[in-house]
Amino acid sequence: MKIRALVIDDSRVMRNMVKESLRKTELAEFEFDEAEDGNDGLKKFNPKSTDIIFVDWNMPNMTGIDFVRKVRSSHKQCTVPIVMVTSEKSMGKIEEALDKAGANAYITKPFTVEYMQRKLSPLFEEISAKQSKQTTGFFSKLMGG
Amino acid sequence: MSQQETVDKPIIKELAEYVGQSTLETFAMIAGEQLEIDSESTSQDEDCITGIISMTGDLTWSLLLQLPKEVAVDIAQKFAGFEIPFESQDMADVVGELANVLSGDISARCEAAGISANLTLPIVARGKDVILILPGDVTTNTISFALSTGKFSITIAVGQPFCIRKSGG
Repeated sequence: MKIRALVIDDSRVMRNMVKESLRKTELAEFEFDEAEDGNDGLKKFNPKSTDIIFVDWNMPNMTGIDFVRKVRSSHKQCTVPIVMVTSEKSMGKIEEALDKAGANAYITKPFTVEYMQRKLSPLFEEISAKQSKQTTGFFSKLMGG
Repeated sequence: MSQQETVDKPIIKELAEYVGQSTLETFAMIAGEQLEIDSESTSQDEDCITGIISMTGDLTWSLLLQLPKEVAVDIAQKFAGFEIPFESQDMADVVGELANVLSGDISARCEAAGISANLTLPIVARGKDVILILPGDVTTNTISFALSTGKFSITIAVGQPFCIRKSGG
């Protein structure tokens, strides 16, 4: 499965760590877009080509949680999964991200490849099912079905 | 005992406990070794890099993570998975991120104890003898830790508003 992931973090090292860990999970064959904060993330996000988003919480200009709210409010039909990757560990923050803002998963730093794999497996199964459905629909239309 | 001591000491003690627990657990996970709280303070005469995070909310306080060069290079490599030169921007990124990870863990412990805390973005400073100039109405506490590569320290500086709230029950 090929996945186009948008990684948003103000730290270049953290973006590289997220990318490298994702590659090591072997959950998909990844292509990456990168953004340095929420504002930059909104510019780089393409609802048609982005399959999943990984976003930090604390960033300058626009925080990760504001980015999630913005994406969910301005692209209401968009079901692209958003994963928070953050140092914020309190239950209040986790609930705010998952229950209120509309993030789909929450990964706390520091993380291991195994932890990431465990947290992301269900999301990647959903993405895989969605991609299969789209492919089936495409061939069905091609065959006049 | 002065009023300042009566009000401040339990808070700084409570926070110091969270800082100690968080640092022992977080750095053990990153470094892959058990570290210890060291009774001797770290040397002020070597190149250091310092990550500073402030917290606002019920509690106004700052955390200073001060890593000597040798410890910083070692822990950064273990954290990032690749070698990072001490003088590079990437090293500043990692130390800011380490301070952020620690502060996140500590703020979660604070929240569990009923104290809300919001993290600010990290600031990173380098050099020998880095000292944070603080206003007069803060209480500080420095804890030193020992890893196999050397010692490092964490200083917490607690502001007054929280102390007033706590003393009022």
